[in-house]
Amino acid sequence: MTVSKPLTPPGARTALGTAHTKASCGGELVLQCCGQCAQVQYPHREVCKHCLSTELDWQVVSTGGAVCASSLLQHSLEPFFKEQGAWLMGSIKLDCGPVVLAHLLNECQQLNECKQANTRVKVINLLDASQQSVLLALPENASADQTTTLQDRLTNELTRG
Amino acid sequence: MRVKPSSYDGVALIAPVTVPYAKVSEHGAPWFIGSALGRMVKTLGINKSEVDGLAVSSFTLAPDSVITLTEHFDLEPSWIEQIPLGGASGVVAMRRAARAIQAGDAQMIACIGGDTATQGSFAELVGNFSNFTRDAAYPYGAAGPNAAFSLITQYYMDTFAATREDFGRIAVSQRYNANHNSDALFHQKKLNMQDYLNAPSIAGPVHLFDCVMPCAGADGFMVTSVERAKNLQVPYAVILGSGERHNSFSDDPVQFRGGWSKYCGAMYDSAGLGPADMNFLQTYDDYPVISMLQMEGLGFCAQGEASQFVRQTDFNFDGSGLPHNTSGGQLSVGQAGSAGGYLGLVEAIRQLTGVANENAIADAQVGMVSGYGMVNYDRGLCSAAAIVAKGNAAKGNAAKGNVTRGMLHGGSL
Repeated sequence: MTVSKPLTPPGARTALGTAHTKASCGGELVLQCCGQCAQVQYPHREVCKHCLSTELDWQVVSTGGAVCASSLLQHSLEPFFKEQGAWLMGSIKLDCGPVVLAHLLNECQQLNECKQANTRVKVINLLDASQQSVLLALPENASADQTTTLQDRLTNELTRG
Repeated sequence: MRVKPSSYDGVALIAPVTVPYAKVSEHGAPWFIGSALGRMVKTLGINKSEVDGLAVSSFTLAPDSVITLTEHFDLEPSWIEQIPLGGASGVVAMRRAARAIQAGDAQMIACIGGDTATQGSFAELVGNFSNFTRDAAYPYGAAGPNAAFSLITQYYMDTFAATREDFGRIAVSQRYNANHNSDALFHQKKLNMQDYLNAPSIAGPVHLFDCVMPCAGADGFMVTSVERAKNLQVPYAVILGSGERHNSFSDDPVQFRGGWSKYCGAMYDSAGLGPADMNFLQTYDDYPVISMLQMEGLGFCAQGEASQFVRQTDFNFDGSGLPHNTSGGQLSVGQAGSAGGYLGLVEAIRQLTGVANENAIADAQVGMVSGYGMVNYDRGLCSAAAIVAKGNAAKGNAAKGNVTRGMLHGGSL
């Protein structure tokens, strides 16, 4: 009898992705910022998209943002998400500049379905079950209880049913 | 001031070929690319040693590349190029090859997009597509391109009041066209609007018949001089105008337009034609909404008005409107990796050289081919387009003289 490995979200990252995981324990939301022009960068990169400086540092940035679009994914290429069933994600325009893709709380979906494409959210780093940092978007006024369900789904390994 | 690109005078597009698609294959990418080359050489009745240029596009060729293929196929080209631009690859390969022909760097250039497909190969390709994908897209549900395009589709629907029926019109019409193209994987399967609307959701607003089927296959064509095409006594097509632009409108929070609008005015000016003159339109249809962005960006309708346009326009190859994706497009032929970026152009050359399948457009003289590709993070980066026309036996670039329908509407852009 074979023992199946617990399922985790996709954990493959570039060296910069791994560096983000290390840096993200420093605050609610940590992203690269340019030492020359101060522009916040995302996705992680080697060179500033604005001034091409290589002086990019991990810094705590503002967590506020607004939903651009969201989608309830019904199919995944990865066993972890296949086991989870329908999965909500979306794109968020952060107040500090970049557009990020993030896991969304279901409460955000309901707001978005009301055509509130500009629903205000708060985006935070979270260490998922693959031990990599991912971004999670919560309603701006989310209570601690509300965040628990999704956090649990992301941070707990799954065993195949 | 707009800089006008020099013309493509004297360049001929010949020998459109398709290596039949298969859902999965035990063969490698070189099998498909080499088979396409073999078909071209056979079609033209030339020796393969006469092929002195090779441009290839493939996602599954690595660790091989265009240079290793020269040894594999035992070619000795004076010009080679690898175009890793996904859905824009065909038009871009044509553009590069055309300039090489004009410059005399090569005389006979094979342009081929080809890929294999095995069980699980699509997931591997998607997860490792790029650094941005790996860090910032794939971890969020690992749905591949469906995730990014579901966000683009949702945003388009929210912003421009587009409906699923609008997307359905594109999918259903393309299936009708595929039912008349024996090369299409869905040649035998019918699709009506009710089937389309009843299909399950795959990712938010993206449902089953909005998605392409990944598969194996190859498409290709040869670029040479008009003089050489005439010597070979083969029908040819010519390029009346073309452009490309990448990473356009990068500040848009969600993609609702691409680079086409940046050059389509110059392209129509070069051709002396406008959208109303086109006898067909071949768009890159990885998802119906992307075809709508191309209709807008290329001036067939205004920004945000593609829904109205698709409601009013008959897209069937034998209809009274604007024949669109007359092969059936990727939605109904299949997406053979990089071959998907050649499909529209190869179909256009077929239509213009009189070798289309049962789906031949009546009297096709000139048409538009458009490409779009490469989702690195949350949007496609590449755009490319070309106006191609039936070659005229009288002169190198005299195809304009063949166009009679509603000429010179280009000023409207």
